[in-house]
Amino acid sequence: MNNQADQHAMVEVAHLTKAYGNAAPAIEDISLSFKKGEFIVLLGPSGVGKSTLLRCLNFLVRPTSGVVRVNGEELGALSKKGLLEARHHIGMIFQEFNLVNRMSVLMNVMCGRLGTLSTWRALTYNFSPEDHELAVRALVRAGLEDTELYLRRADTLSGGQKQRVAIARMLIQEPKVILADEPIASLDVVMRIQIMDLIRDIADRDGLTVVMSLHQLDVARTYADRIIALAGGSVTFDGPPAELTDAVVERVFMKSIDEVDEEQTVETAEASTE
Amino acid sequence: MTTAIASGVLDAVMEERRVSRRQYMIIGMVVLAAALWSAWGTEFNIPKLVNGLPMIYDLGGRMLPPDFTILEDLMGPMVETLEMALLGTTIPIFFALPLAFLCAVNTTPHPLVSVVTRLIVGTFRTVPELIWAMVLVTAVGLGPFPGVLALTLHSIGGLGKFYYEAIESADPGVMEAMEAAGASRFKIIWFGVMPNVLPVMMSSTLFYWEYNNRASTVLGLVGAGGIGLALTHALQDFRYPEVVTCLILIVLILVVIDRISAFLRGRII
Repeated sequence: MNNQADQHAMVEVAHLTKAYGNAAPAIEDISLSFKKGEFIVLLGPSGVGKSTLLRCLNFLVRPTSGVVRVNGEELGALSKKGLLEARHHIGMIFQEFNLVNRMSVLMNVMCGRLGTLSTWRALTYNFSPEDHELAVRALVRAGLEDTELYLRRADTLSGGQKQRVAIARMLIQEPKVILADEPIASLDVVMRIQIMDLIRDIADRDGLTVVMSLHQLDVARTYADRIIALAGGSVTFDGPPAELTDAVVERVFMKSIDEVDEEQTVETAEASTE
Repeated sequence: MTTAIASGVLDAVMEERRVSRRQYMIIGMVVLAAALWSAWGTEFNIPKLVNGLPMIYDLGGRMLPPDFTILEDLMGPMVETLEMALLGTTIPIFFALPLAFLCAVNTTPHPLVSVVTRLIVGTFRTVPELIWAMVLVTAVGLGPFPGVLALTLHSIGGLGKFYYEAIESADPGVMEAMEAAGASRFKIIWFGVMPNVLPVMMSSTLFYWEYNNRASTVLGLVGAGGIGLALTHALQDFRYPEVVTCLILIVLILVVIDRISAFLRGRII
């Protein structure tokens, strides 16, 4: 392996394979390397292994074989405690936001500090004043300045606000890497742009590596530094958005560009009616 | 064109209706056959009931008027009954909750642990509290104490099941988010599961409190204290006016408790 590339690699996977049971592997023999500050979009329709690949990067899914290295640490070689520590510096956001509905916005954000919380404090749901301060700062950074919202229950917020809370929860971890699993799929069109702008802005300012799964071609082209297309558990395209021409899209997804566009229009309509 | 499609749809609807009607007919016949078989097995006999009516009338006459002079003496046993129910619901919480986390498939440390603990919880629940009480009276003697133990054992099973079902309904996405943030197993449960399932757990605990109040009134039948004991004694000595007083008191108290429980459950959700 080339030493030069090694030094810059923030996330690195080699010969990564994950098979669930006896079924055909969800991802097979994937080797990739992501630089510090790089904005990567994993592109492809659902069921091509984007989600599995993403979850292998923080070992929410344990790969069947292969190596995952984040910030120089090999996740598979870490102790149980070491893995929790490593995860603390890998932020993650989700399509369904995954907030605790019955907890306050502030509490939800502070959950990002669970990795550092003592068991006794956890038992009594007692975060420190510093954690509260960090949470407020994270919320402001995520675009929720209205302090009136902070003590409200998370399920009283709108979709866009919920994703901002989830982003604040991730920011409070002071992550080096952001994993984002279809973060805009449950949002309407206006919200999508706001949330994408926010993530891109945070990543640029802090020099964070972002790995995001998406199925919207246009969004991927607008925001990504590098697009990786997956099909059938393997990488079918890896390059800057400029190289992902319509012709390449048709080859990679094995359908016409009109069909790809049409699917996305339908999905956008579905998300808007929700 | 459209009429052709419409008539096709209509045919399909009619066909489906025919099929479902036939299915209901079969189900109805099976239930009826089972009921007749059971009536025969249990010597169900309406003339016998009609012939017994004067006896029931006679019994009613001997019961009335209720003897309210014993009301003061019944207060002690009644309070004892309520105390049994309260202890028999609160003690099992501390056993049912940890067991539930071992039972629930999404929080169990190992699938095998889940199977074993479910078996334990299921056994506690399947044995009726009256049977537990009979066994425990033999073991620790007469009185309310074996009653409390009996309610506790049965409720560990009942609450355990309610609790693990609540835990299993927890949103896996939230748990995943906690795990991704580097939370330990305990913290995932405490932050990712408990806040959302606590109201359901409180509600089912109240339900069990209600249930245990009912159950504790009859535990006296096997010598496990409470108003049931007073009822049994009165029944054995043919003091029917006292029996009726006991029954009235029991019904009144249970109605009040149901109301309290319903009110509290309404406040939770």
